[in-house]
Amino acid sequence: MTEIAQSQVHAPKRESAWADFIRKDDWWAIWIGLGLVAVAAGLVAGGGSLKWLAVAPQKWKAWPEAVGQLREHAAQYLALFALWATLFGIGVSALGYRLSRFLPAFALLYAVTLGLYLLGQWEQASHYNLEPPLVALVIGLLIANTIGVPTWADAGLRVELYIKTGIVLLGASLPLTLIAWAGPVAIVQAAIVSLVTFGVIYLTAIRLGLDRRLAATLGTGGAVCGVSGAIATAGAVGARKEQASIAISLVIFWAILAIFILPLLARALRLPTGVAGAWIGTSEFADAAGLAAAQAYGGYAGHVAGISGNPDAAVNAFTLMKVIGRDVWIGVWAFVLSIVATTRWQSTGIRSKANPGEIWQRFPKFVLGFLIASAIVTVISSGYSYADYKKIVQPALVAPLQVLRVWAFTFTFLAIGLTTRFREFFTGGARPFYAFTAGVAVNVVLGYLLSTQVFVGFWTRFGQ
Amino acid sequence: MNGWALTQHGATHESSAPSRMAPEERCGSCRYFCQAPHEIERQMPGLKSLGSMFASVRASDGLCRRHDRYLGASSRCDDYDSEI
Repeated sequence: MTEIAQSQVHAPKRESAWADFIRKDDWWAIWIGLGLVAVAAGLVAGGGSLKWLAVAPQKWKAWPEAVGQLREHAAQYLALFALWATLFGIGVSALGYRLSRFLPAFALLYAVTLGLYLLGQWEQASHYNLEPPLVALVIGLLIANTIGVPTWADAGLRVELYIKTGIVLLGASLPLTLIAWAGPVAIVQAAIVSLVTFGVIYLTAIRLGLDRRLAATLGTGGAVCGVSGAIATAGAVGARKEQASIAISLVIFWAILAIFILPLLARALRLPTGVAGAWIGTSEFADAAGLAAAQAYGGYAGHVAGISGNPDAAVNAFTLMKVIGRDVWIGVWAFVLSIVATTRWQSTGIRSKANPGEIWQRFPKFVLGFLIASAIVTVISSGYSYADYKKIVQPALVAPLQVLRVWAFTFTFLAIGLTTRFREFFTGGARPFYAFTAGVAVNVVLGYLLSTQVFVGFWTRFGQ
Repeated sequence: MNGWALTQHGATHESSAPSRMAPEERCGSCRYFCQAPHEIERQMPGLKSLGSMFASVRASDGLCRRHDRYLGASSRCDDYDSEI
């Protein structure tokens, strides 16, 4: 616990509801993401842009060309590092980490991310399957599972803070009208898969003789929102500590595998980007893992023969499916399961209350930031003609925010690898593994059928 | 609180054996209850890889060292012991 600031260790247990605004990474993602959107919008209103700061490597053919790019834009890359380090540094400090631990860890994360971003711009990168999200993950996994990552570096490897900030920024490039149009379809498709997957995992686990609390924790981990779903349900039903750990390790195992398998399958099937994104959003288990898969697949568009659609459509469809279709319902799942646990299941000797307020308490607040960012850019864009939008708003406002979003996502993918230890998998024996894997099989097949057969026309249009 | 006052013994059980504990005697103020996010992440390997103890979905849940369970802070049991 050496990396923890003393003030956090001895923080009072009872804090006001307002404390969530500084103690939860959801809210920090909102402050950082919406802060950037607001600054970018303000600059555009004044005739300026965030473009200079939102720097990113450009396409290159030969190594000297890449080095030249870095030299030419060195001041911008340093300024961007200062921006991210300041914003995330304030956030992780509020979460109780020491800045002296965060800064060196984040500096390394930023430097490697820059290298990966540059690698992804190599014109032969697609030919060699060097998609930055997958390369970031593999490099992170290799480091974490060979030479290891020191504990103090945890402060700079806050996966959830980075991914949530990226999703808030993603809202700025998705018009609210598009979310309203596609959201209901995403909710219907995700609801079908979530209910079926939960049922398969839960019933298989019960048939295998597992405890109902473990069965429910495994079920929501596979059906709703991965690790977040597992811990929310574990808390709601009062699961044993090791039951929560078992569910977490199984979610991570399958989520990491799916990052590689789903894009490969979709690529072999030559699915359009919108359709592939919807499938990944339906069948992946965690937001960060799914975004890695979706962003990697989006990179195939225009580079791999037979894959059609807008490159961003994979990430956009994934986000709608996973975040709007699945994540936002976690409070409802936890509430319903807490009622079932308190009224139907065997006593644990602990008395709990099922409180409908839990639905809001467990609501993933960063989704609000995603929607507000979308609303801000939609309102700004409505004041321009389509020609002026393409000439002014897109390059000066939306494009820089898209660049910042890719940075945040790449921090995430590298951090996932660096925090994943293979030795932590399979801690719970064979039966939980069989139960969860049964759900994975059904989830992937059902997600495929819904995305490529039932709603294929919708997701194909969405991707164009 | 507007919540349903149901115990894990079931609704029937509670109606016949109401709790004698004071309203403030909940897990959130018990000495066995750990809510420190860093400590929970340390005790649950893998949690910070694709999740976070700082997430909103966690609400105010924590670890009970007495029963080795992951619980909501408003839960109660007969082993309550004030942290002061």
